[in-house]
Amino acid sequence: MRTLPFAPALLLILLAACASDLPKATDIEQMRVLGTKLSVVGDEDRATPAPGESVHLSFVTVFPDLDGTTEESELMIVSCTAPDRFTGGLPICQELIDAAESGEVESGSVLTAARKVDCRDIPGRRQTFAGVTVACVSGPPEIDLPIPDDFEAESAMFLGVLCEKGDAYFDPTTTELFGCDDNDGETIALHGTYPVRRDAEDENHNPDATKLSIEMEPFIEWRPIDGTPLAEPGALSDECLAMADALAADVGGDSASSPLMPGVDVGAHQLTLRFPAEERERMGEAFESLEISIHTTFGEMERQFTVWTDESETVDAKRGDVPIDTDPPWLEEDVSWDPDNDVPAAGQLVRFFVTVRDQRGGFNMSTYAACVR
Amino acid sequence: MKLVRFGSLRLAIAAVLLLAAARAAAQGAPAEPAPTPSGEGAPAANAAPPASAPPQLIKFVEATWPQAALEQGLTATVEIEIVVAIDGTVKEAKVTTPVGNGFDEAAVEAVKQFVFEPARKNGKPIAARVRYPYVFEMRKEVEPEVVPDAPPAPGQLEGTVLAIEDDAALAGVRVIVSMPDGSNAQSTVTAADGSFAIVNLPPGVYSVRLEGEGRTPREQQEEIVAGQATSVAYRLLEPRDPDAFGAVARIPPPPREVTRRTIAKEQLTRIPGTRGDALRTVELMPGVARPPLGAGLLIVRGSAPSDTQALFEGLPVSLLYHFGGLTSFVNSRLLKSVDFYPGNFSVRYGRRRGGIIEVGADDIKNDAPHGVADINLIDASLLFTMPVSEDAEIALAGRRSYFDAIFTAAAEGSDIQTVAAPVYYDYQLIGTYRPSDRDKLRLMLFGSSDNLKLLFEQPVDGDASVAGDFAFGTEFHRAHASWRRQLSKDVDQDVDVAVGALDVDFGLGEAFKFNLSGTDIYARSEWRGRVSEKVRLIGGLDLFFLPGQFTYKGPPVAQSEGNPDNQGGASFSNRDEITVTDDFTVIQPAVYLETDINLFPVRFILGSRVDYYDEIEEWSYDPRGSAHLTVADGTTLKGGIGMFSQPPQFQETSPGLGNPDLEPTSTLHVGLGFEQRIVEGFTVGVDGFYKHLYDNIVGTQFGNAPFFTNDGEGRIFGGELSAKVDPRGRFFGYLSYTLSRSERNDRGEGWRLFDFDQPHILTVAAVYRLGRGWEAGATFRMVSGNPNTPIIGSSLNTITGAYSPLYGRLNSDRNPAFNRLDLRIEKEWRWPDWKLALYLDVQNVYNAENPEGIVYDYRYDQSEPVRGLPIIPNLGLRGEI
Repeated sequence: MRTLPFAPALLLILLAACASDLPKATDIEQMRVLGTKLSVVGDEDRATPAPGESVHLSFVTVFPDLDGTTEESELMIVSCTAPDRFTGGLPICQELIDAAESGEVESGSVLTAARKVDCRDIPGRRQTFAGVTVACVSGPPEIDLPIPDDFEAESAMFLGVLCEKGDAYFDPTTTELFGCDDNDGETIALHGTYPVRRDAEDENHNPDATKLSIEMEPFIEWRPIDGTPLAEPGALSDECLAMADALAADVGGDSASSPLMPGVDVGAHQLTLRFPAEERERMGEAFESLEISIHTTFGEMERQFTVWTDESETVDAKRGDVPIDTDPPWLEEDVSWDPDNDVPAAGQLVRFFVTVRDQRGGFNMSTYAACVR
Repeated sequence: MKLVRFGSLRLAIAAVLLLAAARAAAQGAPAEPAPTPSGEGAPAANAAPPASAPPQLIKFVEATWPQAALEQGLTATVEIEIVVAIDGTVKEAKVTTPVGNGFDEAAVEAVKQFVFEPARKNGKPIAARVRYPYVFEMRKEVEPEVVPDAPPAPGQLEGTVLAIEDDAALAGVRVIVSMPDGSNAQSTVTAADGSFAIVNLPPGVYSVRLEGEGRTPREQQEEIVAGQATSVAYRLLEPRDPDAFGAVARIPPPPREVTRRTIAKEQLTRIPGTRGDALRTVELMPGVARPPLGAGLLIVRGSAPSDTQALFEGLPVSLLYHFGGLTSFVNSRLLKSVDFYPGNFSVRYGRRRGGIIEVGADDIKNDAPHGVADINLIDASLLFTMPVSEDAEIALAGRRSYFDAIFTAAAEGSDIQTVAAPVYYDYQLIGTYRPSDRDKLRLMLFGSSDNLKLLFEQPVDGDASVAGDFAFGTEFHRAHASWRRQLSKDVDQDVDVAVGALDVDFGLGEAFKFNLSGTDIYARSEWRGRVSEKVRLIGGLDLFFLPGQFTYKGPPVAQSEGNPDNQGGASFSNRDEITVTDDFTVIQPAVYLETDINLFPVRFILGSRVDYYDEIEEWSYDPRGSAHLTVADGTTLKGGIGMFSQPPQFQETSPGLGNPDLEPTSTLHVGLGFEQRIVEGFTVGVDGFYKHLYDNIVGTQFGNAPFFTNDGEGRIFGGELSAKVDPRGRFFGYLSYTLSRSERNDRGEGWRLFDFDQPHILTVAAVYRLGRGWEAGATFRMVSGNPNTPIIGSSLNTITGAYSPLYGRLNSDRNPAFNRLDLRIEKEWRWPDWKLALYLDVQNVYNAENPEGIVYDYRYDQSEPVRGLPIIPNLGLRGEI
């Protein structure tokens, strides 16, 4: 009997969806990297670099508490050519595959030393050899990486590690390849592939997260970020207000458009996500897909993802045939949130990190907040 | 005066008595008085058989004096050891002290035609071994005074025909007598008390043939003496040979396979935990590993599920179970038996290197209409049979599940919208026609359908790619025509032709879509011939033809076994995506030849098979051989060795997905076994096996072109212990234990465990008829857990936002052991024309957790076990007319 590939895996995925006691991806309980924002150096709106250009990678990092910081972090990154065919697991640089298949390994790169290497072993904390770049960054995890002029593949890739407070290293003798020494915090191994632009049709831009609006029902008050006083002063606790003020000065993503939604009661709430349907970037005739992912520092999200594809000409993306009847037309979806943890009497500031991906490498993030009591 | 040649009968009988008496004394039974041959005071056919008795010769056959010895006036006494079967015929005859000059062969040939009243113990016939000295001596005979012109007075043949298992009278058995040249043919039918009489038979030696409904036909010779009545008692066996049927005699196949396990009709639907499904019983056989979550995968002696083939009436079945294991595609009450060959099977079966399951349809009853209706918590089925004429009958069966109603209600209010709730159905229509005593035609129309479609309105947590429709649909329909023909006394032919449609659909939103559809065509012709007393030949041609098309969208196809990503690893978001659409045509012809050489006590079966695989333009040649040695009565040693080839799976060779230049894989099977009948109906067996897998198909190291190569190998070894009690009385049961190890070596990277390596498999099943219509049974299984690959870390794909697992050593961990108890209880009420049964079949009675795997959180940092199937009760009602 011929067996279908992936059938057991798919069954397990479905079972995993029903698992109840495991930590949820929507919960921010430790330092997390929610995505990588790519922007071409010299053309920050564009997310797809071309051969000969440099791409700026910003690893968007969030913390459960307001005092979380990346000032003590160290990032080690290897940049290379993405493999021709990737069947799963961790991608391997095409340069490495070519070397393994040909049996010819050029010495000279710190990566071929066949021993553990940390950032101090890399001359100038950056080395490019045979098309492969290895680099280290301390502090906020952002780095510029070059795309060689003669880059011919469709995609480039990166892999490495972000150490919250330790020293990053590369060790080819281990399965993990990367790790952190003396790390009093999180170790986040990371990787990714992104397309390299050939012509105008390949060009992609990061989605504009400022276009995404979120409303929460029921709420007590609405306080825009520009400092307008509350309609009813004293409605929030002083502690909550203080935290909200700090957040207003320290929001991630596009700070100019991150509204505060203070003053919600304990109990389930409905978040309504809205995005102007015609503000999506086009890929030829079709609109690009938008994948919204919501994370929270408190309470429980109903689910992680909302996806609007080009077929989403209806209000409810996958469900009914209700046409968009708003003017201008909106894409809209409801996600519930339940702050069912014990809420302090003084109130609890809750932050929502909302990422927007276009499933072509484009990424952006916004932060929202609410005060629960 | 002339010399007359004959063996000394009375002296020989005395010797038999002495031996039989000694044996009976050893068994604790008293010796019986001297027997006499047929016609001279043989026990009356209607007399009650004694409780314990040695065999009694009732028909003596005079040997042909060797010509050379006769010319020299030589005499001799040949000592022969005879095994008398339970029906009184001679099963084996072996010369213990050869004397030469042709006397040995002549004596054996005569002795093989002897007929005995079988030995008995506690009233039941048993096989027995006796010593018999066949004496060739000369004596003078006075020629009788012949009255010229007076014709010899006719004789008659009278007797009774009984059932071997309980001596019940068999009515309606046709008794046909004729001279060897076919003259003086007469026939009659036994009366209600099993008696018959054929009178006015000229004296001489006659061929007597008995043909009874549901019984193995029997043929033998009787001597009719002038003016006398020859009284006989014949006992007919139920057919053990699944190839025997109806009134058409067939050349029975020899025991070709080293190991063959048969589940007979009486047991197919009564074993607890199988929900009355015949094909589920195979999972309880030795050497069969347990599939995860009860999915209908057949993992035989450490081989992959795709290495084992199920056949229905000789032709492969595409899809064996509904929804991967819930229930099989055919109504079990249509089946006669399920034969399971875990390895070293005949060259009649090919294109597979693991095991074979052959499912045979039963003959449809021709006496009257019959029906069975069964309704339980999961599905309802109906079976109806009826005679069309004396030579034709039809059967119609259908089944449909109603799990969809329960599922829809359970899914109400969740994020899962039911577009098409899980539902399955199957149907079978079978018609049989016997245009002559030598022919049997059968037409079967059957099909099966499974369908499920769910809508995940938004992606599942952890993988944004998994959203949308989850669709699972399989459907096949087939028309199968067969013709069984007896070409001559020594040659049979079977011809089978089948045409069917197949459609398989599987999808998970936009992340994965697979559809395969096609028309499958099978044609097969097999000839079986008896070349001589010692040699039989089987030859055949078979052809598999499948034009079809498939569409695939999803991650690049990778090695399925030995790939942790196939065990629920990296998310779809983190994999590449390919789309392939292809038309294909599979053409796989084959030819095979097998010879069976009986050199008692050893039998050799030697065969060869040649296959061609058009899709890869490759051939394979499989030589196979086995030997069976009868060491003693009820004791058999068997061994076999052979090559078994298999073509790659279509996704491994399809351009765009795989490598069209792959070669077929092959496996060397070596087996050795021992079977001992302890008493009639109770046998134990021990089998050892070793398999080496060559040219295993594995993925390339980095997943790049050519994507798959034949750079893998495997080794599997183990032993099986089995004990079986046949359903002859109130009780039947099985005990099986398998100890084995199955390993693979991919690309020379070192040996590792097979994904489904289960070193210990213990199964105990017992069914007991309590009386007053009650029957109860239990099945217990204890099985090693499957290996799994630990996840030792993860890496975040910051572009997709999903984590990819980092794996430890492949299959270096193991799930906890599995244990489960199933119970079944049934109460049956009987009336003259119908019966009703109420049954309860409970799977996993004590609700054992039986973790089947591990589920991790979104970043593979914490985990939980995945619980196996819980307690599943199934209450049902069955009516039968």
